[in-house]
Amino acid sequence: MALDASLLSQLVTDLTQPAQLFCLLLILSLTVNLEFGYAGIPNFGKVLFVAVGAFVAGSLSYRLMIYLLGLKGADIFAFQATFVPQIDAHLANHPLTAIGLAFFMLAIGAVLGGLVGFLSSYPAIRLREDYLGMLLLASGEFFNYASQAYYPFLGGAQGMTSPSPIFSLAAFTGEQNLAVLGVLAAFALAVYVYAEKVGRSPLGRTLRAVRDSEVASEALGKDNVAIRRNVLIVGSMLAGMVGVLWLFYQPYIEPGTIGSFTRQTFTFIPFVIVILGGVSNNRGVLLGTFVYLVIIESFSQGTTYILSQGYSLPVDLSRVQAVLIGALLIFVMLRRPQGLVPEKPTLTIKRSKLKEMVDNLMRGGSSDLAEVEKEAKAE
Amino acid sequence: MIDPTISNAIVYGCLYAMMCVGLTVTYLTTKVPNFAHTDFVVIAIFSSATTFILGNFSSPYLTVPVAVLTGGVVAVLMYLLVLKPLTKRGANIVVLMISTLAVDIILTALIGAIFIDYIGTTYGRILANKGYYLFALNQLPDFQIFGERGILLVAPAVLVLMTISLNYLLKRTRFGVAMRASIENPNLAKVVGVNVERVYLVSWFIAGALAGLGGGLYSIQSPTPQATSSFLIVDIFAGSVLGGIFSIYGAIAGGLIVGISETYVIRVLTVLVNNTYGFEAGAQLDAFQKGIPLGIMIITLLIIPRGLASVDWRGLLRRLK
Repeated sequence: MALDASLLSQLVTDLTQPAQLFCLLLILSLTVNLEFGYAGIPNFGKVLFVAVGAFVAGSLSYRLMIYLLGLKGADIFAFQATFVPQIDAHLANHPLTAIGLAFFMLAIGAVLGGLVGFLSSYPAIRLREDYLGMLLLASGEFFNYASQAYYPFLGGAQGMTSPSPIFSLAAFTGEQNLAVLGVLAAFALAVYVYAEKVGRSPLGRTLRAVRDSEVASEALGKDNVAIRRNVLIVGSMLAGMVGVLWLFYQPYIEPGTIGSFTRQTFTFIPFVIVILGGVSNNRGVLLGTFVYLVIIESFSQGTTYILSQGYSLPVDLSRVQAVLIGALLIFVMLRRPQGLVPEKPTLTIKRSKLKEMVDNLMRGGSSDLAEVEKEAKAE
Repeated sequence: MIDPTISNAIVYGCLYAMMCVGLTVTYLTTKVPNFAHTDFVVIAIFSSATTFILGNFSSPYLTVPVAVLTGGVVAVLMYLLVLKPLTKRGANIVVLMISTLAVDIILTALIGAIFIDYIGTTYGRILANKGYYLFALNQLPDFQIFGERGILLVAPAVLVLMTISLNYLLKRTRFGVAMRASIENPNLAKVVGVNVERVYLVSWFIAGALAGLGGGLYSIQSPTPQATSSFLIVDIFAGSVLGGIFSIYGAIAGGLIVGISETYVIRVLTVLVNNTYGFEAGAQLDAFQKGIPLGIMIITLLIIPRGLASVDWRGLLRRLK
């Protein structure tokens, strides 16, 4: 039994990190699904909103904590190695400060994400999709480039370590990673429920109408531009919060287009997940995130095993993985464009009631729902 | 000697113009903005630079044809393997855009795997002996003419030659007519016997070759860090959008304006800030260099979303008179 318990705890430890990544990727992919899947908006600047949230929240919370603790240093980034442990120790002993800081960071992520989402899409939201895609992508590259090159923001290419309130706060539990996972999972669940609600609501059908036929939705009195703008703002707010949650998961910020917040991880991968799982279909996104993580985990486990057998590759394995993921996406788009779980029409009436109506029609009765109900009551 | 800011501005303007034209040609044929376009540039830079260094050539200009060829071949492969099958399946524009993002990821990884990892380690000692490192490629040596760098003469000359030959190709040759017809109305072109597929294929080769041409010359003008493709994308898209993404001549103008203003405006602002706030403050401005092409793109989209090519210049002039 003792062996089993240790095995179990080992398993929990091994699975915690992938589970955290799962939650983060799920939230991000759900926002991409909301924008691209339902409303057809090509938000190729996803990394911009994630990075804005993470960078500003990380930079500001670090400065705030330095101010609160009264730490002194000419160059705060050069003193990180001594400051950050002090901040985290302080947060571990002051739960209220830690909770306050966590909410402060999340608020920054949401507000800035939404604001940048509105501003960066404003010039092109009225134009065709390709202009919006180009503008958002270029804005993301500009922000990453400038954050890296402007030293006072994040300490240049070296980057900085953000305070980690949740991780420090959970010090007393002894299972800090599990506590972080709990927070991430709660967020992921909330976003999933929200996305499901939106998808099934009249709003969800409006979004599909905007995606499939702009002219038709406009003819029915829908303001396409306002709808697209609002969806982008909501998606960007959530993406900004993902940036902050990412800091709870890994507090290291390395700006720059080849740093830790790359276009590949935060723009491309969510699109891969959504297309793999199935467009405008939250269950598909759930499955897609899972399949994607299984693929990359087995790739890294497999290559670790092969390398441990004494073989060596002349190239960096992360590059091989990138080529495989890119090829997988193109393959899915060619062979199974509907994804693993195809899009279904949303049922506005409960299935049981629909069946009742069909039965009634077969018997030669009326298909009108009110009459069916009346009959049912009379019986 | 000409002020280095001005000469840099001219050279970057010419190089961006070549790359922008390539992007516009792909946009005209496949109707999709190709996010992998700057990877064509970078792959061309690395192939010509490694040929130059390892092949002991006397001047990097001699290996520019390698860059042109590599760019063209990679573009044709991308068209054949990704865009053509997807278009045949009836993929919409957003899906096509995502597929070019996928190609961008693949090409970036391949560039890293082939040049930085494989050639960089296999020939690492030879490269290091000559003072080159592929993970951050140094600027390649240039010749001197009248006390100026050769690129200052070559880049504008190549741009003029490119413009003249493109103009000749489009207006005076059978292929040019077929190409314009295929762009204007592919179905009608098919009916009158134009092989539209082949026209698109050749157009993609031209687009990649122009990206390669710009890239081959770029490596003589500037060092090539790993992130080059990521930040060049801002300039190239800004130039194409400014030109009106459907116009080749617009793209030349757009690329020139973006390249010149990016280099020149940042320099002027830096000097201004230095004079007012001291040296440190001015140096920080370099971080926001890419804000200029982004700003140009934003202003274009707000004022003239269809770009310079859509402006009625004659009418504007008449009204000003």
